[in-house]
Amino acid sequence: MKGSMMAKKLTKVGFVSLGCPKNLVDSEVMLGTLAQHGYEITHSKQDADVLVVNTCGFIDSAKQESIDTILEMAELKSSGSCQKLVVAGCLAERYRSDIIKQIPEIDFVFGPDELGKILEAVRIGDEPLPDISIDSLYTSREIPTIPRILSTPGYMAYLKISEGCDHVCSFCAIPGFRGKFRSRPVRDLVAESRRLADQGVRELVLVSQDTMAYGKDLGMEDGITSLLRQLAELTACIGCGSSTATRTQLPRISSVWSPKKRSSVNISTFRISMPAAPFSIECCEAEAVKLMSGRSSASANSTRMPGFAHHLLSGFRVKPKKTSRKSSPSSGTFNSITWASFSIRTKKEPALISWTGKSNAAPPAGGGRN
Amino acid sequence: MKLQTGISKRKLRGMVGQTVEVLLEGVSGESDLLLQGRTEAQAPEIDGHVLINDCGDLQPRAGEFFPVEITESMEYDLIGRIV
Repeated sequence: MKGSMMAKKLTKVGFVSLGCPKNLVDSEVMLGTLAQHGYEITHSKQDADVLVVNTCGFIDSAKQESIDTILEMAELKSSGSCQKLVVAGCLAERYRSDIIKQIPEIDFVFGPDELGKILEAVRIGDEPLPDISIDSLYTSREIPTIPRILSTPGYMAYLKISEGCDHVCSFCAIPGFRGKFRSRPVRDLVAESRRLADQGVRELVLVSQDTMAYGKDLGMEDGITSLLRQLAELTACIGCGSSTATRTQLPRISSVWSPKKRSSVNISTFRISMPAAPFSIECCEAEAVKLMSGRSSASANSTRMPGFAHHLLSGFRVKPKKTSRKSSPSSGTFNSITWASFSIRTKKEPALISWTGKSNAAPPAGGGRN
Repeated sequence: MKLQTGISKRKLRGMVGQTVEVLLEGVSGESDLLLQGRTEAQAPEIDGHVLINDCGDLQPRAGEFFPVEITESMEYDLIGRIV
C-alpha cells in the first residue's frame, strides 16, 4: 500500500486567480475538482508541474495584470519545474486566439463555461482522462456535487448565484464573454449553502453579474427575494438544529452585490430577518441611462420586491445643460457622471441602516467598452 | 468620488452611538493594535471596516460575531468597542 502510494508521484498544480470574486469561485471549483482527482495543489510556483492562471478580462488594468501574470508564469517553464501553462477565465474567453498566437508558452486555454476542462488542461502524459463537464453554473452531467476548495478565510464564502448579464450597457463588455444571464437553481444554492455552513462558514456573500435579476430566467417572479428567504430559512434551521447555537452563531447572508463596482454604486445588503433592506440601483435618470445605453432597473426591482418602496438617498446627475435651471446648485460643477444610490425600504419604520457604498468611479471617458 | 466621500462620511457619522453586529476578521490591516471586522452592510474588499480599539477582557477570535458600539466614524471606516 505504502509502496504503491510512493510510486505514483502526484502532479503539483499551482493556481493563480485574478479578478473578481465570481472568478475566484470558479477557481475554487476548479481547485476542488483537481483535488478530488488526486492532484496536489501547491503554493509554490517554482515547485508546480502545471501552472494555471484564471484570468480577468474586464478593464485595461486587469487585462494587463492577467498578461503580466501569464508572462511571469511562462518564465517558470524554463527556470522552474513547470511543464505546462494553462490559461482560463475571461481573458482566455475574450482573446483566445490572440493569446495563443502571441504567448507560445501557453499549452492550454479554456473559458469560464467549460470548467470541467481543467482536468484535461493539467494532464501531463497520457493517463486516462475522466469525462467530466462542469459549466459556469457548476452543474455537471457526470457528478452530482461539484467540489470546492475555499480560498477565503474559513468563516466566509462567496456564493455565486448566477452567471452572465442581459444588459447592454455601453461601458461594459462582460456579457460578451460571460454570456447571457442565467441563474443557478435554488436547490443547488440551498444545498451548497448548507454544505458551506456545515464546514464552518458563518457568512455567505452572494455574488453575480446581476444579483437583482436572479431567477428571472427560471420564471421566478420574485427571484432574489425568494432565494434570500430560503437561505434565511436554512440559517434558521441550522440554528435550531444545534443545541449550542445562539443568534450570533448562525451564518449571515451578507452583502448582496454585483460586479459593476467600478462603474456604479452597486453594493447592497439584504438581511431577510430585518424589516428593511438597502439595495442599490444602478441609475435612474433617463438621460444618464441613455448615455449608458442601459436600462433603468428601478421599476424592475420594485416589481421583483413586492412590498418594498424606494427611498432615494442621492441623485444621479449629469452636467446640466445651460438651459437647465432646475439643477441643484452643486450639480453644475460636475463634468462627468456621478452615480446614484438608493435604498429600498419597507413601508414600515425602517430599522436597518441605509448604506451607501464607497465605490462610485465614473465609466471610462468616451463611453467605450473596456 | 469626492461627492461620494462626503455622503459616506455623513452617513457613517449617523451610526455613532449605535451598537451593530460585527463579524470579526482579525487584526486590522491598518495597525496591529486594532482589530477589524465588518457589519452586514460592509462587503469584503469593497466597503470599509469596523475598527475595534477596545474588546474589554475578551479574547475574540476571527470568524465570530460581536456586538460593537460605534464610537467614532471616518470617511469609510467605523471605530468601535465590543460591548
